[in-house]
Amino acid sequence: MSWCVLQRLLSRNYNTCLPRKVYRSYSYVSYLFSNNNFYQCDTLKNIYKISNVNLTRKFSTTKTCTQQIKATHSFDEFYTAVEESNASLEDLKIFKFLNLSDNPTERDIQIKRWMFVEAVDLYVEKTTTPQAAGLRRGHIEFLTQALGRMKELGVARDIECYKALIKVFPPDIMVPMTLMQMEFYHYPKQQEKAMELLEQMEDNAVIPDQETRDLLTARFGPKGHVVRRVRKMIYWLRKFQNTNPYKLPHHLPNDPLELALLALKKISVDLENEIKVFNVTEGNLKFFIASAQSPMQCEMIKNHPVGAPMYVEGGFRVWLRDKCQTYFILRADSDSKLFELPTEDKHENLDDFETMFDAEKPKDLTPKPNIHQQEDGTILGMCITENATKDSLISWIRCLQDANPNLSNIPIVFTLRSPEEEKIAIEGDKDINEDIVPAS
Amino acid sequence: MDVIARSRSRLSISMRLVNLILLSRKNNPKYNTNSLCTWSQCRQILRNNQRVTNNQVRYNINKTPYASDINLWDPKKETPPHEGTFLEEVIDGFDILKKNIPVYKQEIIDKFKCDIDIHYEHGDYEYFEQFSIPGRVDKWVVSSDSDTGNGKSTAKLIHSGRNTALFKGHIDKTPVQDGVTERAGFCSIRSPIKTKSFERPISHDWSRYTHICLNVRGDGRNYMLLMHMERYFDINALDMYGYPLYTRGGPYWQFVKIPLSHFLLTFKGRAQTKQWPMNLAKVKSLCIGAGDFGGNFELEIDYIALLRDDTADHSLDFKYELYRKEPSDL
Repeated sequence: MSWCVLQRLLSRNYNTCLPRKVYRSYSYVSYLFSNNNFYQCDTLKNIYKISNVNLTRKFSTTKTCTQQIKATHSFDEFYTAVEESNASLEDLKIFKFLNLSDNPTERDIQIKRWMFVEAVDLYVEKTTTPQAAGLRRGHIEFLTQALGRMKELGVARDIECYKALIKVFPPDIMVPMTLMQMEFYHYPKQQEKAMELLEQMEDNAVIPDQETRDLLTARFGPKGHVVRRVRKMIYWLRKFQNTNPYKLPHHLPNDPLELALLALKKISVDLENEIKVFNVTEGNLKFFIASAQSPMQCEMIKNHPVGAPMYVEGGFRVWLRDKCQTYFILRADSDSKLFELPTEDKHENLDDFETMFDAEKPKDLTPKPNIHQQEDGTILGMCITENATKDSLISWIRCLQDANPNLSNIPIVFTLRSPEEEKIAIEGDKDINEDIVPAS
Repeated sequence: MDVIARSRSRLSISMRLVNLILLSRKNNPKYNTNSLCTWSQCRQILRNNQRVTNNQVRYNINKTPYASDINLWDPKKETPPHEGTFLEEVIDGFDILKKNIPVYKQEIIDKFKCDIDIHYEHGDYEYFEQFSIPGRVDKWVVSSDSDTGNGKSTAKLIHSGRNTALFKGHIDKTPVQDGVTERAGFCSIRSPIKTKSFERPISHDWSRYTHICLNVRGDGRNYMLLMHMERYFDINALDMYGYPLYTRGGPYWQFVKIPLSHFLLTFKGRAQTKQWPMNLAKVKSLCIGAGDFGGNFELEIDYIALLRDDTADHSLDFKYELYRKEPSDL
């Protein structure tokens, strides 16, 4: 019977009743100089009356034992094994995912999560054979590889996967028992790896929960660096959990249309905004146009003077976390009167006073511009097209003409550029890509 | 025995003499005599601002002493490096005098008049920065991790052509392969440090304001507002108060209003366990940082202002808890 099997059998009792009472009864000096292994054997033997059991620690990073059988397997081996078995066995797939959701993005996440957790569990199960489990040899290397692969496999923002990885650390063995152990960074490689894992969680905005903390407490002790780190994370990350006013869902969708809709929702200021989706076919091409326009903007197009041009500008960039969307706007020149503030010169001219017979014109008051009227232009619509070409924008304008019949009378100028290009603003210099589309 | 005793006495006498000479020179900033016992250990400050012991000068050793020179950087002990001869320096100094004497005069007059702003009301505001004023953009300091060789990201602050400033650049998250660096990717802009006459730095006093307001147009990414504090020693140089700046993205301008009590103490971008409220009377500079993401970014800034808003919960000095627990429980 090896150490690990015993430990598995007695893990619950071992965890609760072993150290505390003895700790208090021992004096400080004897506690300091007590041989840790011997001390453990003694108590265990006393409590459970087991003899002839070798309870020395085999789990160490400093001493390498060449005679033992190595149980190292890379993470990729396990993951490919899981992938292959599930690709061939359809029944297993159906059996495992009884409660799969209908939403494709959610289903994708569920399957990815299951695959990852299954691969990690497979490793843990394999290494729980009597010879290998006490060592769980190479689990730091395994974790390093798994952590590095998480972003590729699309599970970097999933807390269940991180919990599965924490379970790879063997429980109870690494809990510091003496003051010296506590002081001198007990099992340094393991603690460092656990800290790296937590760091990656923090980078991907995964907030650890109570279970994560319990798992780590069982492995690294209640007052070690790792658990302190988790507690700090729980404290600070929850404070900033809901501070972002433009919050996105935890898992972003992969579908380009859904992403476009999310982006338009984030961009738009007017609460009355209506987001429409036009599915257009032009020749062989099929693409969507997501367009956002509010009733107020429709009214402004209706009242727009016929001679004055409108501009279609873009593409500008908006970022949804690390995914980028290119949007275009329909813009008109702004009314400069709205943004003219009453200057001091008018008040200083004392000769130019007004009598009571003059018409009453308040100088300090100006009409307030609405949300869409800005100093650098009035925004009359926004859109995201699937392929972001000029032809798609022309068809966007055609689609808008259904709701805004006045658009057909207004000349529209296309000033387009790629978002990578730098637009150098020089007075009197016009854009290169200017084309005037005649009214259809 | 006698010989040894004599030599000892001689040594002690000579030591005293040396000490006397050194003490007389103590006020001279050229010699640092604070923690010394022998002439050979005495350190000189050379022209290139390097501290070298007298022995090193004598034997022409160009190594810097390793143990004795590790001390706190003290701004008062810092002497600027000499540029050119004495005469040249004096001639250069005349220009500074010409510019700064009227400023200094005005400062003294103001001091005697005692015209201090004590009264403050709801709705008081002050523009910290208006980029519509020409020439303001160039005064801000742009830095990125490629400046110090810790990364490859680049950034710049330019005129956008609409009376606003544009902070744009590219963040590269691949770290430098020097075996130590683990992560990279940071760009920032920092406001110019406020000075009074003779270029003496002073801190901003924001104690009358409760909120910081910005008019920005971003690209949907999160930036960080950071405040450098006026602190004496260099170990506090990286202590900054910070709060994230969330941008909406899109063509619309965005008005951001953040209470100053929400800023939390960070060190190298990490929130600290022991928090302490910000001393609003001693703010050295404001910094807008971009990190935490890779790729191109663009942030258009119109103005940065400070506002006193009594309707908000201004009685709140600090948003975060200040209680302490036992170190074992932390």
